[in-house]
Amino acid sequence: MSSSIFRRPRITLVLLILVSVSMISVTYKRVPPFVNSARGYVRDMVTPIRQGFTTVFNPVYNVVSGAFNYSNLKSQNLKLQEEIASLKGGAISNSYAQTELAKISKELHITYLKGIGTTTAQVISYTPSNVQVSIEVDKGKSSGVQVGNPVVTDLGLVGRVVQVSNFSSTVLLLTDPNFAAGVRFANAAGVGLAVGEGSGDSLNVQLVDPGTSLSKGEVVYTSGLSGEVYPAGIPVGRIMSAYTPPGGLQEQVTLSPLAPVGNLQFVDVLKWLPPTP
Amino acid sequence: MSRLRYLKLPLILLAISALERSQLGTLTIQGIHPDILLAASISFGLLEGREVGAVVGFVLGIVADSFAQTPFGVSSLVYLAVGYGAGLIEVTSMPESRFADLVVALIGGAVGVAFLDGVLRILGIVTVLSNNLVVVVTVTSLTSGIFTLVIAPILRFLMNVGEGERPPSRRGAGI
Repeated sequence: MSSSIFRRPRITLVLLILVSVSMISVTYKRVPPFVNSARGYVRDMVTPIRQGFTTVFNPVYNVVSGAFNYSNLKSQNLKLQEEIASLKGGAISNSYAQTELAKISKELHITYLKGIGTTTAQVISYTPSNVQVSIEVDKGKSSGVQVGNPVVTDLGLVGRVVQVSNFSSTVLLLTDPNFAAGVRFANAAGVGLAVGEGSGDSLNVQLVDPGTSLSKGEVVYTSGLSGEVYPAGIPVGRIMSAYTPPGGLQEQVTLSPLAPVGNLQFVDVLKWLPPTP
Repeated sequence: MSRLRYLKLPLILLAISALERSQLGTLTIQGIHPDILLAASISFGLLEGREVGAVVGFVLGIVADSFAQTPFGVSSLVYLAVGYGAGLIEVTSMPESRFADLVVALIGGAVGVAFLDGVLRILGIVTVLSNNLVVVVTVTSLTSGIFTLVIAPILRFLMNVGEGERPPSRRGAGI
């Protein structure tokens, strides 16, 4: 490929830089519809071929993944063995857990599935990006999915749709640093803002008044206050820790998501959009 | 570049994009994804010169931006710069060897991801990158090196299938 496209590599470079910078300027504040359409075309082109590669490279993936995550697999194995032992010996606590799960499920049905249409979608991949924490699902515009639709599992909130093409969508997970949702606590009065932390599977709850009475394990729900982008009552996570640092102006609250964000297979896209003012 | 090679290039880029979206692309090392598109941009820069490296980097950046929430054009800007840089370093100062390719890929991977973080910071965008940049730079650099060593010979073969010519010498390419 020794001949040049424009015969002037530097001119090509400058042109491409100008185009890139122009695109950044145009899409920085608000993404125009034609850019979203272009994104959709690229996604629709790549997605069908992706499935074939996934089938071919699955064994390679398993080998490499196993090699690089050997210590994780070992600790997971140990953890599973402990869980099996605990399950065998703890029939009472098991039944308690089932009761608790039934309660949560019942609560879920009362809160966010009532009156809101859903589309069940399969997770086709976790986005291979170090810039955002997201997944891709196999439902898009053709199934009525829209940008802004909340995404849940039977356990709780997963995230929201941020990009849609005809046959697939990108869902920003609640652990992404750009995720934010207004939340309220199950037992305590007050609200806060749950924000993803990026690395790891936890969220921070900001703007919680110091001294708010919170307990470990307490469930946190979306608040659904005016201007919120999620309907009220979707379980978000359980409180892992809550304390007020000396002289702190707000409570330091950490959440663990209820939905298994690291191991999602199927999700429900809620056909709900925030009301326009 | 012959007409056949012009036709092959989009197909190869489409295949690379699909490969990156496949399960192979979702591999993580210490929670960090290898950047296959960045490695491919470097490989094209090394094999075909700075101009093709830049064009390929730009196109693959568009693909990356199509799946991300970052402003459209950020990845294009970074990948085209890295693709151009790989071609520029290769034709001007590095001896032609696999070791040289590895060194360029390691540097390119590290510079690429650091540049991406820099651009996003300038734009005031908080991403997962910002939290653990050192780890991301290290893993991306190493994986770019490994991927380039694998991708480059495959690309060299694919770009010359049916051409009836030997792989082009990198010396002087694109100057």
